[in-house]
Amino acid sequence: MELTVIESRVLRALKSRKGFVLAPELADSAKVDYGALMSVCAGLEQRDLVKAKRSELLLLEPTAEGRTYAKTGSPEKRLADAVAEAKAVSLEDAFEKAGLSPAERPIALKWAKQRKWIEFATGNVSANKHADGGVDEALKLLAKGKTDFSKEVADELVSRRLAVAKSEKSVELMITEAGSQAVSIEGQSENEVTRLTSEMLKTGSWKKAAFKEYDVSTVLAPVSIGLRQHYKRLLHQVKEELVGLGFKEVHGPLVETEFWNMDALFMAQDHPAREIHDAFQLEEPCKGTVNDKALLARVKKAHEEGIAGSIGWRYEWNSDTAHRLVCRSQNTGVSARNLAKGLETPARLFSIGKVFRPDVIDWKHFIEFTQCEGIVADENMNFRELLGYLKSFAIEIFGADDARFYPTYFPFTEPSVEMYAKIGERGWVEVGGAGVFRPEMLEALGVNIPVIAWGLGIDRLAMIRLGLDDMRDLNSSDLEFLKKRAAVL
Amino acid sequence: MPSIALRKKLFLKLYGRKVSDEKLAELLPLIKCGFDGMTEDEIKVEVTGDRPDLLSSEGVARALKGFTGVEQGLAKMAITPSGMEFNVDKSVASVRPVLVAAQVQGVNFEEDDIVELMQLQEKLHVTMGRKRRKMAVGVHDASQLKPPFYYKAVSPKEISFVPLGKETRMDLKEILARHEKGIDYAFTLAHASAYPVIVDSQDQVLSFPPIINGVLTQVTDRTTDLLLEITGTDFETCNTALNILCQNFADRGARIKLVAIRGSNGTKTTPETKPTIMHVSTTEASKALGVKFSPNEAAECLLRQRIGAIPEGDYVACEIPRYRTDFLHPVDLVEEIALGYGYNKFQPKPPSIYTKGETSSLTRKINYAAELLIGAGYVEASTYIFTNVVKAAKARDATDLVRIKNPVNSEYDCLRKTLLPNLLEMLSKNTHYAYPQKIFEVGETVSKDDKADVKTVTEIRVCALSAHANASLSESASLACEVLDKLGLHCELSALASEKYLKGRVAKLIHNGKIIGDVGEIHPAVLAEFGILVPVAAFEARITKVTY
Repeated sequence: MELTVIESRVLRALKSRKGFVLAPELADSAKVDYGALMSVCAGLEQRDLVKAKRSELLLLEPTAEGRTYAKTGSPEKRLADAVAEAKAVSLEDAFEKAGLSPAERPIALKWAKQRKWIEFATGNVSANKHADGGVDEALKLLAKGKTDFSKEVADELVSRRLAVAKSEKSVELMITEAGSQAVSIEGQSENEVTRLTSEMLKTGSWKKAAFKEYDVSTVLAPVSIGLRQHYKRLLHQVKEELVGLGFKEVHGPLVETEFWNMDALFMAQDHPAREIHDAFQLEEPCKGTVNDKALLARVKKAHEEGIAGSIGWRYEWNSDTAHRLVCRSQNTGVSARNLAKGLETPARLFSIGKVFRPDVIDWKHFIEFTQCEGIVADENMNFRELLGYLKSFAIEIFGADDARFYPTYFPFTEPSVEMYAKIGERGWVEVGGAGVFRPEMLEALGVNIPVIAWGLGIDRLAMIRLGLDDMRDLNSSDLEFLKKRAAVL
Repeated sequence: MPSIALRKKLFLKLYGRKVSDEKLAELLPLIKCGFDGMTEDEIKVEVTGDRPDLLSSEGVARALKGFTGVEQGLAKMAITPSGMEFNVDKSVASVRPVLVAAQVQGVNFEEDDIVELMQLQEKLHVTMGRKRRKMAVGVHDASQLKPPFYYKAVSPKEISFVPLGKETRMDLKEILARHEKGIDYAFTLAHASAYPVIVDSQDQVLSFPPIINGVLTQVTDRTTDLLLEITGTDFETCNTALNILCQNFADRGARIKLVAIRGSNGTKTTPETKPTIMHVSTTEASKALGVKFSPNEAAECLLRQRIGAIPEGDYVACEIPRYRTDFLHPVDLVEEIALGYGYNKFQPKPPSIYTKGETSSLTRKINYAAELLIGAGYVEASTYIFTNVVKAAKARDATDLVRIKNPVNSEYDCLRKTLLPNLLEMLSKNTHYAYPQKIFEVGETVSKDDKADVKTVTEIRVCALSAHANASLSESASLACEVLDKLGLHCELSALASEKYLKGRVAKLIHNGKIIGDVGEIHPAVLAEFGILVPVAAFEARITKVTY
């Protein structure tokens, strides 16, 4: 078996040690760079010359509170000791005697009771058992620099904010039997030729050479190839499918004025979706401009008294609010900007881009997601044809077997519809919403033909198509996870 | 969309027909009540935001009766004068100017009816009421009260009463400071110097709107006579909410009585129940929906939606009940026709036009940049647009960041201006894997730009990192120039001083005399901050921007 210089150094260093060795320590003793060690280690592992153990250590560091208690003793311990010394006393006296501050008292009481160090009888408190087995020992060790504790102790220290946990990832390596052998036989069969050289080819000496034969079960080494990110690849596939259906791609800015994000869509300024917790506002800059003053005036009128035969929302429209900058919360603003520019009709546009909405953060919610939406502007557009588009999206893009439609509500479309698609074993899944833009919105934007708008839940589609359960895996930062993903074609 | 629980027993009694669970699950989503599951006692539905009238068993039963043809057209509500009066003092004008009220007699509460009434009240507060700012409902047991009533604003310490949930008297200021509801809703009166109260002729306190009622008028399951009062800032909104409540009580057989509201601008009688008149053209509706409706057929669909409908030539004259909020334009009646017809009956029609599709030149450029780096053996990353100031500072990239005013947490408190911080963080999460590690991202970033209408510019940047024992300026600079050259951005290198990189191993990338990026060996101090133990060389450059 052939070893590179670094591999050989690593194996020799490992052979002189017993058991697992931490990677940085090994790099030192093998006198190789840490990066170099990490680049050879996967190859050695694959050829079974070393065994690797990867782990994540939770290291604890004391907080200020933790440090104080390490010196003074935990409040519960101080309370229990004071009670033990005094036999039976009132709780108030015990607190005094233990020198507990008002803030420490409830802590002391809770934990001393929970650990059954103290008990209550006829209004007095008395010692139950000797106060040990608490966090005091751990706190002292922690203050001295010990970092790893049993899970139970660590959990209590962290949940009581006496310590904070930092995770540290580590790799340990150990030489295998085969590894030891490879080092010892290295350089023994000097007569065999391992490499064909251009010298040999020039002189013809290759004819007499005995080439060392390789063991084919050990020739595979890890390779790193360049790869498209799995979610980005899928988004591109969706774009191609939409292009195939006759849609043209458009873009807009990530930061928008509320005017384009909401007002131009005929969303009333006191609409619940415009509350502070439904869009991210900017600190600085915080106000944008709207260049088309005539448009601004038409939108104001649409909201205040109505246009195009509407009675409007009947309130005093605030121009300042419309000029606030937000992280766009929907891509419909992109469509509105394009409509206002004046379109050559019939037109079909789509945009796929990030939108931002405050939410809880967990495996199925995040504050930043990808939205796929578009419009069709056509003289003869009607509700049945809108359903036709949606059905073709369900089948072409989501690979659905069937689609169903239900009424719903969006502030800027009427009628509005929401679509469910039947996707293989997943069954019925909500895949998107759509509708016909309201006349108040269209007339303000200077459009006089029907326009339908649709939006597809692209993150959900991606999770289905990529076989993921955790939304965060769409943008995973785990390099090995990403490298293992093959495209779904 | 608000979620509510309908009590199945009450709902089925109001609906008045036998209907299987499966059928209900199928029908409810067709009348804007998304079906969210059912237990023995409850039906869970999610009501669309435009239909506060569906936030109760009464409302949903009324709508379903129309849809299935059990009962059509305008719902009945007999209403007679009560002789009861409310005097609205001008002192409320600047605080909470509107009050509407109704009397309800012959209420027969059963089991948990009050629980559902409270649910309706709460949901109305959240939706139409905009968290009680615009509108809030007070429901009172009328038996202990001595009309006429007075609605006035008083100084915060002038009046005290025992609020619901407490046993002792509190003045208005104390309620805002110490009562749970006072604390929750104090913001509705943040700018007021006098607070609204409702008292009867004996100065008994009914309510401190929109915060809390007094215990005096607490409703129990023995209550038979109610006083409903609704206060707020907008008459239409308050009157709509009052209509929702009155129609619900009328549906259950109670008697609704009018109340006279005397204000400085004269006297009004509420609830105002006269239906709104609106006309819809059958030709227009047929064109918009893609289904041919005769005036009679359109009227039939509208009657199923509990709207009064009489064909008049091509038009249908519609009477819209005042408990509905969502009619601004005849197009809203077109949707009602579609609803009455049934969304499940429309046959989708294949697209009838041809247009040429294409991806944007921006997308093509992004894909080409990605293709080039993949060819060089780099793995593509996708990181969030949201990032944080601390992370950016660790990468020495924190100047002029676009910050968020209302972040949900400090992990995501600004928009990324460059890609490097996120990618360094990614390397820091992969230190236990084999090296070399080569990663890149091509994506949107946000920078300040005073000339743009949105005061920022969305740029497309490319950033590539190479982490291994021999990572060098030469490696990254060669790659950068090759990639940018292919993208039509031929670059020259020139020395640069930057904290981000190791001194003397860093260069700016200059295209046509403009700096478009930088390249170099990441400074060990930066690597240390990210916990990266391997040398990293990187380049980042702006390749284009989003135009719109």
